[in-house]
Amino acid sequence: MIRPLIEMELKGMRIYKTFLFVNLLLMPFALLFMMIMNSSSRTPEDISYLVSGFIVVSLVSSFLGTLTNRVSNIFEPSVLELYSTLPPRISKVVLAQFLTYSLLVLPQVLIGLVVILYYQGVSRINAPLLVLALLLTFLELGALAVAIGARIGNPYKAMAVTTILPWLLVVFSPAYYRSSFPALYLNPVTHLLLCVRSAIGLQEISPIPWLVSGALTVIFTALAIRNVGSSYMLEKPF
Amino acid sequence: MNVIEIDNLTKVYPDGTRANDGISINVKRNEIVGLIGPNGAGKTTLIRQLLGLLKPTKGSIRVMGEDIAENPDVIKRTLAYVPQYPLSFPSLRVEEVLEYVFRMRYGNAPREETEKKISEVLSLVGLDGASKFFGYQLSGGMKKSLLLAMALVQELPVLVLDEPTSMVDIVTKHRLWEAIMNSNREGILLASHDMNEVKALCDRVYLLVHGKIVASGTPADIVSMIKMPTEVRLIPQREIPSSILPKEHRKRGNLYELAFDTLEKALETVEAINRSVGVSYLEIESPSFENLVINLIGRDGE
Repeated sequence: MIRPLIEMELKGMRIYKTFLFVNLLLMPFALLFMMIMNSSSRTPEDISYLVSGFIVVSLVSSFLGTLTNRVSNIFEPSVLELYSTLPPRISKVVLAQFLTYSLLVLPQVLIGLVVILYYQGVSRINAPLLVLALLLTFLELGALAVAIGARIGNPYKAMAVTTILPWLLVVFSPAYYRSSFPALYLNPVTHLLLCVRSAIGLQEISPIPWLVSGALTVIFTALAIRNVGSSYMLEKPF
Repeated sequence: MNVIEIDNLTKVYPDGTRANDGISINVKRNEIVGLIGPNGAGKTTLIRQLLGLLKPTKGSIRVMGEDIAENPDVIKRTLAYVPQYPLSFPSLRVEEVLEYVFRMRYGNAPREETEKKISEVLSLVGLDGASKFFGYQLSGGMKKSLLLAMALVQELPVLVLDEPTSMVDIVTKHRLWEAIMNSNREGILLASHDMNEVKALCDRVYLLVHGKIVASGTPADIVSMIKMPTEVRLIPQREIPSSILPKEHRKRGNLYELAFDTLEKALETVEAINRSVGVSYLEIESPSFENLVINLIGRDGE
C-alpha cells in the first residue's frame, strides 16, 4: 500500500519539477559548492562544521518547509472526505509523504556526508552515532512537520508557518556560525546539530543534546500520532 | 438487510448547534435514495458521520448490516464516495489516478485486468478521450466525472454521492446520471440540490430541513403532498362561454389567463374549452418538483 502512495506522491511532483530541481538540488548544491570552493582559506574542521550545518538545514527545509504543507493539504476536510473511503488509512498516506520527502532530501544528506568524510577522514567519524544522530534528525523534524501540518489542516494557513518557521530554526541555531549563546539551546535544531557534530568528531560527546533530541522526538512523534491516528478526524477543532 | 440504515441520528456540535435531529434513513437493496435540502439543512453533517469523520451524538449508522461505530473498517470495505468539491490531482494523468485507486484497492492485480477495468469506467463516465490528460487540464465537469470514475473503479457495493453533478454542464450531467443509474451498486445515497437530478435518479427521497426529515417518499409522493396553483394562458378559436371559465380569469385581447387550485382542474377546463370552442394557443404553468420542494421547505419554516 505504501509503494503506490509514494509513487503517486513522486509523480504528483512532475509539474513542479523545475521548482523542485532548483530548490532541492540546484540551490543546496550551489551552497555546498561555495563552501567547498572556500576551503583553501579554512581548516577541514571548518568545512565539516558548515557541511554538517548544511545537512541539518536541508532536512529542516524539506520537512518543515514542504512536508508540513503537504500534510496540511491532506487534512483539509474535503480531502479527508475523499480519503475516508479510499483503501489507505490517513496515517499511511502521511507516512508515505514522510518517506517521499526523506527520499528527496537523501542526495543532499549523502553528498554532504561524502564531503565530511573527505575532510574529516574515516577515523574521526563515529559511524553508529552518526546513523543515530541522522535518524533522530529525520524522525524529530519529520514528526514535528506532521504534527504541525495535521494540526493546521489548511495549506494556506500552513504556508504562513512554513515560510517563517524554517528560517527561525536555521537563523537561531549554530548551523552556519559558531556560538554557544544560551538562548540558542531553546531551539531543537541546535541540539540536533550538536548530535551530528559530536558523531563526526567536531564536538565532545555530551549526553544533553542526545537526551533533549530523544525526548523531543518522542514528544513530537506522540503529537503527530495523536493528530494523525485519531478517528472522527473532523471532530478536532480546526 | 438494508444497505444503509441510519437510525435516530442526532449530531450536536460543541457550540450547541443541532445539525441533525433524530434522522432515520434507510437505503434498501438496489435502491437509489435522494437526500435534498437547502444549505445548512444538515446534509454534509450527515454524510460526514456516515463517512466516520464525525461522531454521532446519538443514534446509529449501519452499512451493509454492520454498525460503523463498532466496525469502522466497514466504511473503507464497502463504501465508495463522490465528494461535492471537484478535487483533482494536478500532475497525475486521468488513467494514472484510476490505476492507483485500483491498485490500492486490489493490490497487484494483473495488468490486463487493471487496464480493462479502467477503460470500462472511463468509457462509462465519458472520459475515454481524456485518459492521458493531466489533472490541471481537466474542466470542472471532467474533474467531477473523474471523481465518479474513482468511486466506480473500486466496485464497492455502496455508493454515496454528494452533489455529483454540481458545476457540470447539461450534457455531462446527463452522462453522469446514466453512469450512476448503470453502475449496478447494491445501494446509492445521493445528496443533491438539483431537483431534476433527484427526480431522474431516485426511487425515494428524504427532504431535510433544519436538521430534520420533513418529508419522505417517492418524488411523485412529494408532488402529491401539496396542492400547487396552476396558471393557464390560452387563445381560443372562438369566444369561450362564461359557464366554462373559472372564477379567477382575465382576458387581454384574445388571450385568456386562467388560474386553478390544482393541475387536475386546469386540465379538465382546458379539455372542456377545446371541445367547445377549440384552442389555437396554449401555455400551462404547472409547479415544478423544485417549486414543490421550495413550497414544502417554506411551509416547514412557518
